Amino acid sequence: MKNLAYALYIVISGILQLTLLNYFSVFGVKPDLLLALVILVSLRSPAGWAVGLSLFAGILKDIFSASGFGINTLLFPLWSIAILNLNRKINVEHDYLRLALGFIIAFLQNMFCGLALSYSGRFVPLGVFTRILLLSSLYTTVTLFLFFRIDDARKSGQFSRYFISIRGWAKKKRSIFHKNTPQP
Amino acid sequence: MFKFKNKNLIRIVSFCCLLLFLSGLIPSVRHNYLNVLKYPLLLPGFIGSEIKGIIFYHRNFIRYQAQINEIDTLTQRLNALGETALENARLQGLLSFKDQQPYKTVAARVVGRCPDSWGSCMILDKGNRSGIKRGMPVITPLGLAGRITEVSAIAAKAILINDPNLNVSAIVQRSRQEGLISGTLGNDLIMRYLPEEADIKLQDVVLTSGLNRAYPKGQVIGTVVEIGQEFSGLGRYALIKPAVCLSCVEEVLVVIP
Repeated sequence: MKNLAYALYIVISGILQLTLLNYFSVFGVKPDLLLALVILVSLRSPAGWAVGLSLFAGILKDIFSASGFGINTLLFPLWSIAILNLNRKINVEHDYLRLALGFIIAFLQNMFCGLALSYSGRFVPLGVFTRILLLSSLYTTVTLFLFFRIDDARKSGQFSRYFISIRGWAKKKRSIFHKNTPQP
Repeated sequence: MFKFKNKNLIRIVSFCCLLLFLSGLIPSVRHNYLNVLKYPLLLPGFIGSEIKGIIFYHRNFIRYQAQINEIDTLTQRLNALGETALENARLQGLLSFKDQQPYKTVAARVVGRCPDSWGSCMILDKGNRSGIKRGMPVITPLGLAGRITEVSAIAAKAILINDPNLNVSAIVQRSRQEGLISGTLGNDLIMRYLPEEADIKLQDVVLTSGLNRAYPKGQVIGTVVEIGQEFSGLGRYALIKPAVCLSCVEEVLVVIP
């Protein structure tokens, strides 16, 4: 169930990445929600699910991106495998460690994408290259932090408590309404 | 740090090969996915535009008033130009000029943008069924916006002119100097391969040259904002500010030749 929820998060993030995220771009750079989710899923799901969901996220991103080659389909599962291996060796549960790992992965992802573009003969000025490389990686790391917080809240049941309290409030309002409505 | 046994190594290599194969297949499966995912993409766009409308109500109202004044001025000017157009048509007839065929256009709405920062593209809500085909130019009333790269039945993907993958043959309107414009992923475009003696100045308007017939001739691309020397020293380059606001374009016209 938890893993299906992650799949749903990936679809929603994909749609947000294509539409509303443009309003939140800084210097024309926006965060990579899908990559942030890949990192989250790799740290919190079993290996099979993590790689599968990463592949799904990579395909989703490549379908809508401008590049002719499926670079994200290739890289996302590889990042997932790398994180799974690292997680077996060392404990990556501390906030700072997670963020550092997120930044490194986002930086490498951007570096590969930028270098692939440059080496295919396209002209990307050094300033633009550096700006996207650093800002996008930082922005993705901040998003990753938010995703961890949201996932922690979901795990601790804060969301369900919130929905239960809303349902209780609605029930109370409905009963007051029925009490005040004159019966025929 | 990571020790691999032979079996594991074989598994990882075969998995990487599978990934490589899959990533090569991506371009061919895009059409079907575009069809399926077009409708969910419409909803956030609609919500976003409604929220923007509410937030920027005051600014929009002021713009609306300014535009009403502008419309009055332009209507007067249009009436004056009507006479000139009639005169022009008469003279063209006298000189036996062939009328240039006006091209057909299909209006489309932008429903999505490029998911990463390493490209610049947009997803349109019209596709094959509306007559859109791969390679057709995309324009706005302000000038050239891009080119269609992928088409499905009900959606299409267009690459914008600030994407490094797109090159446009261009000329300077004033001096007819030719050059090749390509995207830089930034706010400006770059016009390269200009000779040392190129007649180009700041604020010159740059248009599509129509040389390779990929784009209609005379579409405004932008204005020159900076001129510099190539790093190799063999020529000059010019930075072009696009006429179209590429990050905020919401409706476009696809030119059907």
